[in-house]
Amino acid sequence: MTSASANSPDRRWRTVQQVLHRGMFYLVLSVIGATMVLPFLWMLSTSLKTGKGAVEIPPTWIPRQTTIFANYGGREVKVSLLKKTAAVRRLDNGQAMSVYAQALKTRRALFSGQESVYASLRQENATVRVPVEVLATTARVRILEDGPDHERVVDLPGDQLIVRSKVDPQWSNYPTTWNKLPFGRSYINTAVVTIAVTIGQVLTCSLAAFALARLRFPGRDKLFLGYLATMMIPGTVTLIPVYILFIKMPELLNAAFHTDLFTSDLYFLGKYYIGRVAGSNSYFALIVPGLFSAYGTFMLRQFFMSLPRELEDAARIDGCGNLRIYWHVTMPLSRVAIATLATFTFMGAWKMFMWPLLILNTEELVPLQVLLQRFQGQYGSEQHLLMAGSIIVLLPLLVIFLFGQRYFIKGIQLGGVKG
Amino acid sequence: MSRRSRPVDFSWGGYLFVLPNFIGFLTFILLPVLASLALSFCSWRILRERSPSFVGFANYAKMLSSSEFWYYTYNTVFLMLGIPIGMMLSLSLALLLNRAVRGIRLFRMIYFLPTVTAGVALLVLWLWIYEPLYGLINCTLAEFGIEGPNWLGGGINLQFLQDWFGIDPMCYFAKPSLMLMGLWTGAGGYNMILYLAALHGINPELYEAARVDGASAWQRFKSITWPMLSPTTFFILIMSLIDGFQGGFESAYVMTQGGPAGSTTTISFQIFQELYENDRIGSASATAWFLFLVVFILTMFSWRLGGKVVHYD
Repeated sequence: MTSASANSPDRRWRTVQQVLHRGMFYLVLSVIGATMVLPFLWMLSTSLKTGKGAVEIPPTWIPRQTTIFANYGGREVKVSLLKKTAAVRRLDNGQAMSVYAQALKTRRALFSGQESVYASLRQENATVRVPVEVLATTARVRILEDGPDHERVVDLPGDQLIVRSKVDPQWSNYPTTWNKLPFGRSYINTAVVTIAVTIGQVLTCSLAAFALARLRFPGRDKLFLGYLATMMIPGTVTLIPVYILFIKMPELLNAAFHTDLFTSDLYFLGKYYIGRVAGSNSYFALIVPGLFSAYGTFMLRQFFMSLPRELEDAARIDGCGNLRIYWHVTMPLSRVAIATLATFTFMGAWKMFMWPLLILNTEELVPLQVLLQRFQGQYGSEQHLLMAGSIIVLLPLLVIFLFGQRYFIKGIQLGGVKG
Repeated sequence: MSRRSRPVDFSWGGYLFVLPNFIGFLTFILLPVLASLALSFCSWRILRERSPSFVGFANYAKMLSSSEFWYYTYNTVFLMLGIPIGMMLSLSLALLLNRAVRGIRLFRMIYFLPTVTAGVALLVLWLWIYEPLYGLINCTLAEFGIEGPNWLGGGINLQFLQDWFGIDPMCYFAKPSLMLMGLWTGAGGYNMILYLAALHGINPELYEAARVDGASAWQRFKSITWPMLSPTTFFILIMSLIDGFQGGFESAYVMTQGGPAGSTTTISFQIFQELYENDRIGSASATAWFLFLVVFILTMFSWRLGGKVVHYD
C-alpha cells in the first residue's frame, strides 16, 4: 500500500477538503443568489395578499387569510376582534397597569431562548420600552355567527380566542389591477412601439453596417469615424432639440402641405384613439427616434468585418447584387449578432420612460412604464395592487430573458459595450 | 485603367445602404447636438413664446452661480461613489462564477435578473422594500429589535457639521439608499459579464507557471488577474462614469421626486424639470451642454491616463 492508494488517510482527507470547499462555494453562491431573488419573491408574495394582509406586522411570506374564532358558551363561534388589552405588571417599578396588546412585544433571547415581554409606553411624547409581566389578557369581540347572540359585543379572556389561518393567495388582485388602469391598451402600445423600433433599428443599422464594412465609396471611413465619435454624446443633449422638433412638427407639416391633417386626431376603426400622424402625441414620435443607433451600426459593422469574405465573393461572381448579398449571405451568417442587437433594442425600447413622459399628454398612448408610474401615483398606498401591476409589467421581460439569455450574455461579450 | 483602380466592391449604392440610418443620425444626433448648443445661448419658453431670443451666456452664468445647481452636481457625483463599490462586487462575483462546475449558468442567470428587469417596476418594488413601517428591510430589522430608519424620506441632523464646517447639518438617507438599490441592481449585471468574458480570456498557463513558483492565491490575483483585467476595468469605469453623470432621473422621478430637500435631484432630473415643468428650453440646454462637456473632458482625460495605467498584452 502506497500513500497514493484510494484508502490512504492523506487522499481521504483531500476528498473531504474538496467536498467542504465545494459546499462552501455553493453556499456563498446561494446566499448571494437569495439576495437577488428575495425582493422578487417579496413582490410576488405581496401581490397575492389582501390590502390588509400586505401591511401586517410581522409580514408573512405565504399569503394567508386569518379567521378568528372564540370559545363562547361552550362552542366555537366566528368573531371579529375589536380590541385586545392586557393587564400587566411593570417589572421595573412593580406598578400594575392595563395596555393594548399591540403595545406588547415578545423577545426571545438569542441563545438561552428565554422569552421576555416588553411594553411600549408613551411617556411625555416619547415611546419607551419597559419589561413587563403579563397577568391576564382580555379580548373584546363581536360575534359574527348567526343566532341569538349575533352582533353582540362581549369581553372574553384572551386565551379563549382561536386564530385559524389558511393559505389564501388573492389571484383576483391581478384582474383588479388590470381593470384599474388601461393596462391592456398600454400593453398594445408598448408592444407596437417595441416591435417597430426593434425591427426598424436592426434593418437600418445592418444596412448601414453592411455598407460601412463591405462596400467602398468616397467618404466611407470618415462617415464611420463620425458614427464612432457621436457614440458618447449624452442622450440628454440631443433630447431637447428633438423634443422641440416633435412639438413643432404638426404645425410645420400643416403649413408645408397646406392641410390640417397633421394636427387632427386619428381613430383606428373609427373608435380607438391612436394620436396624431406625427409630432407629439403620436406613435410616430415614440417609434421614429428609436429607429437609428450609432451603437448598433458600430457593433454590427465590427461583426460583419469579422465574417469571411469568400461566400460573398462567390455570390458576387454568380451575379448577385449588393442587396441580395446583404440579405441572403451576410444577414444569415450574422444571426447571433442580429439577435443580440435585437434583444438589446427590445429591452431598451420596452423600458423607454423619459421620452414618452415628455412627448405624450394623452392617456391612450402611454407605454407600460409610464402607466405603472401613474398607477403608483394614484394607488401608492395599495401595495398589493402595485406589486401585481409591477409583475404584469415585468413578466414579458422575464420571458424574453429566459429565451434570449444566450444572446444577452454573448452580446455583452461581443460588443463589449453596455446596453 | 481607371476602371481597374476601382475594386469589385466599389458601389455608389453604398450611399443608399447608409442613407436610412444616416438620415436618422443627422436628424436625431448630429443636428440636435448643434441645435442644443445654439439653444443654450437663448431664452425660450416654448409653450408660450413663438421663437427663441438670444441671451448670450446668461443661461450659463445663471447656472454656474446658482447654489442649487452645484448641489445637484454634488448629488450626481455622490451617487457615483457607488461605481467603484459596484465594480468590486461585479469582479468578486465574476471570480466566484469563473469555474467550470455544475449550476454556474443558473447562478449567472439569477444574478443577471435585476439588470434585466430594471425599470419602473423595480423602482416601485424598492419603494415598497424601503417602506418605513411595512417594508421588507424595516420589518426584518424589527425582528431583531432594531428600529429601521425612513430610508427615502428621513435624515439625521449632524450638528457638528454646522459647528465645525459651517455647512448644512442635515444628512438625508435617500442618496445612500438609492446607491444601495443601484448596487443590488447592477452588481450581477453587464459589468460582471464583461469581467467573466475577460477572465475567460486569460491564458491558464500563466496561472500554472505562478503555481509552480509557489505563488499564493492573492499573489496570483495581484500579479496576473488584476493586470490582465485592467483594460476591462478601465472600460467599465469610463462607461460607468459616462452613465453616472447622466443617471438618477428615473429613481428621482418615480421614488423621491428629487427630495427630500432636493437631496436626490441629479443633473439629468434637473434638466428634465427645467424642460418639462418649468418650460425653460435655454436653461435646460445649457445644463445639458455642461453635462456633455464634463463627459467629454472625462473621456478624453481617461483615454490619456488609460495609456499609462492600463496593461494591454
